[in-house]
Formats: sequence, structure tokens, C-alpha cells
Amino acid sequence: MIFAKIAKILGSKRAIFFLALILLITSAAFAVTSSILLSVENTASGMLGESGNTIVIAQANSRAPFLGTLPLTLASSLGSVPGVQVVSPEVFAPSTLANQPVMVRGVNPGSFMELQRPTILEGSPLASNDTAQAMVGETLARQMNLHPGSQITIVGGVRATIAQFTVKSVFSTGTPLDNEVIVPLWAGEWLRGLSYSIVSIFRIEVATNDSPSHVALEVQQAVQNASAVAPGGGNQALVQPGLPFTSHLTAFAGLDIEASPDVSSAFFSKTVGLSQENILLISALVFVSMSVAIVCALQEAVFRSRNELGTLRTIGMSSRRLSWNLVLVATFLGFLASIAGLLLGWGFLTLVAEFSPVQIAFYAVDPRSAFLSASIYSVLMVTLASFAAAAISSLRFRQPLIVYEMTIPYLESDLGDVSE
Amino acid sequence: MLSIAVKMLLRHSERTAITILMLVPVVALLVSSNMVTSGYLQQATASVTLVQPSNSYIAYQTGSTSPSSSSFSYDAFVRIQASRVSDATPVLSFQSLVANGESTANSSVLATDMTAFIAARNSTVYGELAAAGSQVDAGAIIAKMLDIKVGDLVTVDAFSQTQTLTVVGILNSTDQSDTGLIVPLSSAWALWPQTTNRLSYVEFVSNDEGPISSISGNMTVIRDEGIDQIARSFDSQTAGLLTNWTYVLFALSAAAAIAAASRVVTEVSQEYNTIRALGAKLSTARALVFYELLIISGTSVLVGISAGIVSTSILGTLFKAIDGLPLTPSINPVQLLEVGVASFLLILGAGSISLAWLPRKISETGEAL
Repeated sequence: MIFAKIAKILGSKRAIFFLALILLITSAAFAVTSSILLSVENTASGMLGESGNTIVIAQANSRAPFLGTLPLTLASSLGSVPGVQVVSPEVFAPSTLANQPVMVRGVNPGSFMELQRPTILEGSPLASNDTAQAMVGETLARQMNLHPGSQITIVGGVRATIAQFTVKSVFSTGTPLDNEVIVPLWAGEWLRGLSYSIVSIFRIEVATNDSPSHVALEVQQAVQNASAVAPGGGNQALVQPGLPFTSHLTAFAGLDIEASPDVSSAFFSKTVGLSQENILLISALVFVSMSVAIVCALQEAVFRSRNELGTLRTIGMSSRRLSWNLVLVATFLGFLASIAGLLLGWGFLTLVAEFSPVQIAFYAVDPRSAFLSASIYSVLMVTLASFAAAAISSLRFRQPLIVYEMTIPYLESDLGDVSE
Repeated sequence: MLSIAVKMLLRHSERTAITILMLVPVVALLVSSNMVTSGYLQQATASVTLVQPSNSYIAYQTGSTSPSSSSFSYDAFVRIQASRVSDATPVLSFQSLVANGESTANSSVLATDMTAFIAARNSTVYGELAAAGSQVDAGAIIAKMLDIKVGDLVTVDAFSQTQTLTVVGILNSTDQSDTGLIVPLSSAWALWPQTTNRLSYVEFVSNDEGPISSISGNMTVIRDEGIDQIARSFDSQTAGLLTNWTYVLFALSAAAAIAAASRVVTEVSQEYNTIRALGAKLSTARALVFYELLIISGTSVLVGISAGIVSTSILGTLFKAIDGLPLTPSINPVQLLEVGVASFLLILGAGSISLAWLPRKISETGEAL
């Protein structure tokens, strides 16, 4: 009852609309900021193809995990580590397709299909005897209107060469791989400018009953043991059997690798500061700046309602009850405004996705993909801020009531200490 | 009037300070974001200018979906060769079914000037280069897939004609030609008459744009390395992301400016009412409040800019020290001036709107008059 009365008093003032507007914009801005940054971070951390039970082996001292080089012969050492189920050697080749940057991933079709298990939406999967066929992720296929049978000309980004493929299938994985072109391993090697038998990374699928972190340590140990063998200790039999040449990079001596379920996440955190903590820090900075406006707007709303609220106080409402109800009303308003702000934020993100799509390197980012978690943060933060701001504003009514000063808070606020 | 406004603000120094402190973080946030985005964009643009694009090109018939599916007469190659380009290599490409014994694979035949082809691609030859009509070189990958060795006979089925050719060498060019069979152009024209005098594309090197524009009439010319396009694209992606971020920040700043300016006007309304009660003209009373707003906005912007510069520099140093994060904010005086003026006008505009509401409110409630 009192809650409704106070809500009605505050609602009758224009200042409450300012407050609602501020809360709405703050909520929308917080949700938009967090959503964009979280979705970028999600994309970046899954860029190499890591997942719950998939770990990545990359060259430790390379400038970036996807720029490293590892000998293909390492596959046999990795395959012998307990807990390793599938080893997929892969090559990253930054390239362009119709003047747009695309990431081309050279794979061994069998290992890739076994590890990734993509859903084939159209066409048939890549096979080991395909020479000029490619699979295209559904996001890229949608962007470039590609279907099975489409002819694509890929221009190397690192090495001056082109490769022409026929799209064999369109696949979906629900990961950043949906932005990539998947080609046979050797095609990735041409476009990347690598010799045959050299790859960028290995992806390893770990058995479900094994811990990925534990297997990653075992892998590190296995490679160290292999490195200790004399130069040339790699398994020469695995150097793309049948080719009339061998790679120079077949020995493990001095090989420095990193094996982890979070290789790309750690890389982006280290190089561009793209980590969950920093994202929340940036969002919090925005929020702190805006909290000043929330306090401002709420104080004004209370100030403009001082007469009505003062009247409630004089007809017998305790200061505690008045303050508490004021806090409740403001918190409830904050909650409602933050929910409405989410709608505004969603609309803005939809406009962004439609007219100015967010792209991180070769990967399209749908900022709405992280909207749910961003919304939870936003609603919590805005509601809490409203609560805190209301608590500060309600201090105005916490002074003891003196009978001969009916609107003492008002007078004190405007004229200073009137008791002197 | 200005001096009266200053005196009034100084008289309520605590209130004035709080109002300024409320506006400072908003301006500082705008300045800080501007410095960081400028730094990132400068780095990105500098990276783009450092990229040296390749001088290798491919020309094929305009309208074809890919170079391989293109078809034009050999005369076009002669014209290209004559247009101040170097290392021009003609290539005819067509699909075929290649068989070596029981093993078969869908592959392509590349017919070319063998000597120019080997030189342009730095190919390694295991065996010999095909010369006679029935000789062929196999690419390293197709040789591996079909277990082809020098001396083997392979059958090539294309244009509904099957030809049996002798493999005289295996080529490793580490490019797509490794998945096909390479034959001299004259051999291909003789073995598959449908291809006589036809080419699919021409590869060439050119160090200036002049020949490219002369070739581009009915030919599509593409650079065979996309690093410059990738760099430009990344640059525009970064700019796009930062622009979106700027929109969000301006929305926030506008909301904060409205709230803070409205509070300023509300707080000085008591003085406004007093002056009006003492008989001051409406314009005089409004001007006084406007001057107060002007001083508060100006001070807030100046302090905000300083706070933004200092806090960004400190945060940048801290991030670098703790995370090794390459946060390199850039101080661009012109941009800072623009941000400052925009913030100032934003606060002043919001205050002026609130100010416009004052007289009506007073007459409605009867508080002042």
C-alpha cells in the first residue's frame, strides 16, 4: 500500500522519467558493451577449435598459435599418449575469397571429421582423395551465397598463389569454424607457404574419462622426451608417405610446444587483453561513470517529491519505513528499466548485426550470442545501482522528525541548517 | 552577470564541486575512449601502410566464375606479353579423370609453357620435363594419391576422349598444380582438339599499374596475394567496431549530461525564484542560471579532459606492467578539442532544455511568483 503510494508520488514528477531514461540507457549500454565484448572473447577463445575435450598443440615461441610451424611427424608421438583418441594435424592459411579475408584450414579429412563431427547441411563431406574440393562453414556460405558446386578462387594471404576449389559441402559446428573454408592439408600448406609435412597446430580429442589438462601435461612430456632424441628422431615413415621428397623439419630436437585446452584464449588475453576479467573491468568502468548519473537523477526525483514525502512523514510514517519503501520503489524501477533497457540493447545489437556486422579478424561475431549472460550482469548491476542510489537519496528522510518543522528535510536541503 | 554567477557558485561551493565531480567522469570516459580508439586506429593504419602487396597477377576472361573455367584465345596472351609485363605464363586448365592402373582420381590437366612454368613457380623436378606429345609430368600430390612413378603410363579422360600418356617426371611446386598433370601447351592442343588455340588464364609479373589497366579491358586481373586486402579489411573492421563503441558512449554521455544538467538547474531554481521575486526580468534570471551552467560545463570539461588523459596514461602503464597489454593511447589535440567541445555543448544543451522548463513550472505551482 505504502509502496504503491510512494510509487505514485514519484511517478507524478517529471524527474522520474529522467531517472527511468538514465536507467534504461545505462542498462542498454551495459548490456551492449558486455555482449559485444563477451561474444568477441568467445569467438577468439574458440578460434583454433578448442572445446571441452579438445586440446590444441601449438608452437610455443611463435608470434601467434596459428602462425607456428610443427612437424607432421609429431602426430605419431601424440597418438601414443594415453588418453588421446584422435589427432588432427591442421594448417591455417589466412587468405582472401572475393576480396574478403577468410581463414582456410587445411586438414586431413578423416581425422578432422572424426574429431570435429560437423553437421553436413548440404552436399557430402570432404574425402581423402578429393583434390580440388572444399567444405565451407555455414556462416561463410551464407555471407557469400555458396552452395555445393560453387566455384571459389582463394588467393593466398601470405604467399603469392591462388587455389581454385569446388564447394563440396556446407557444414555447421556451432563454433568459429563455421566462418572457415576447410580444404585438404596440402592445400592449406600451399596457401600458407609451408612445405609439405609441416603443419600449424595439432588438435587432440581427449577420451571422455580423461582430464584434458592432465592429457595436455602428458603430451608436453611426450614431446620433451621426443625432443631429447637425436636430431632426425621423428618418424620418417609418417612424412606424407609416397611423396618423393621429405621436409627439412622432421626432427623434434629443440621443439618448444604448448599444449592446452585454452591456447587461443591465453594468446588473446596476453596480446590484446581480451579476457573475461578485462571485459568486465571495461563494462564496470562504463557503469561507474554512469552510476553518477543514476544518483543524480534519483536525488532529483526525491527532491522534487520532497513535499509529498515530507507530508507522509508528518502524518506519522516512520523515517525507516519511508526510506525502506523509497528504496524498494527505486529498486523496482531500476529492475523494470533494466529489463526495458535490454530490449533497447537487443534492438541496437540487431541493427549492428544487420548494418555493421562485428568481425574479428576472419571470424564474424554475432554480438547477440552472448546477450543472455550480458543481460544477467546488466539487470543485476542496474538494479543494485538503483538500490544503492536510493539508499543514498533516502538519507534525506532519516533525520528525527521535529514537530514544529514540518518539512525540515526540504528546508535543510535548500536553506542550510535551519535549527540554528 | 558573469561575476554574479561566479559569486553564486562560490557561495555554494560544496554543491558546485559535487555537480562538477558528477560531470567529470562522463567527460573523462569520452576522452579516455577517444585516446584508446585513436591509438588502436593509428596502429592499424600504420600496419596497413607497411604491407607490401605482391606484384604477381593472374588475368582471365571477365565473366568467368574462376580462372580455370575461363577461355580465351592465345592472341590475348600475345597482347599481354607485349604490354610491358614480365614472366608471362599461359595456362590452359581443364578437368579430367586420371587413372593409374586401378587407381583413379578427378584431377585437372594444366597445359602450359613448361620452361616458363617451372621458372615462375620454382618447381622441383624429379625426372624430366614433358616435351613430346605423349609425355606428361605428374604433380607431387596426384603422384602420391595414385602411386604414380616416373615411367608409368596414365590414362587421362577429358572432353570424352581418353589419352594414354607416359609420366616422365614428378613436379613439386607446392601449389595447386601438384594435384594435376602438367603437359606442354602444344601437346594439349594436339591431344584434345577442342582446346586448340585456347587458354584459361595468364600469370604475369608487373611492377606498375600501367599494364594492368591496359589489360583490364575484357580481362579480369587479380593479384595473387591478398595480404594488402586482409590488412585493409582488418583496419576497417577495427574502425567499425570502435565506431559502434563510440555510439554507445555518446548515448551514455547524453543521458548523463541530461541528468546532471537537469540537477544543476533544479538546484539553482531557489536562487532563480528569489531573483524573480525581487523583480528581475525573466531573461535576466534565465541568463544568470545559464551563466552558472556555462561555468559548470566549462570547468567540468576542462577537468574531465585532464582526468581522462591522466587516468588513461596511468591505466595504460598499469595494464602494460601487469598484463603486458599493448594499450597505446594516443593524444590527438584536435580530436581532444572536438570531444571537449562536443561534451561542453552536450551539457549546455541539456541544461538549456531544463532551463526552458523553469518558468512554466513556477507559474504552474506558484512557488515563486
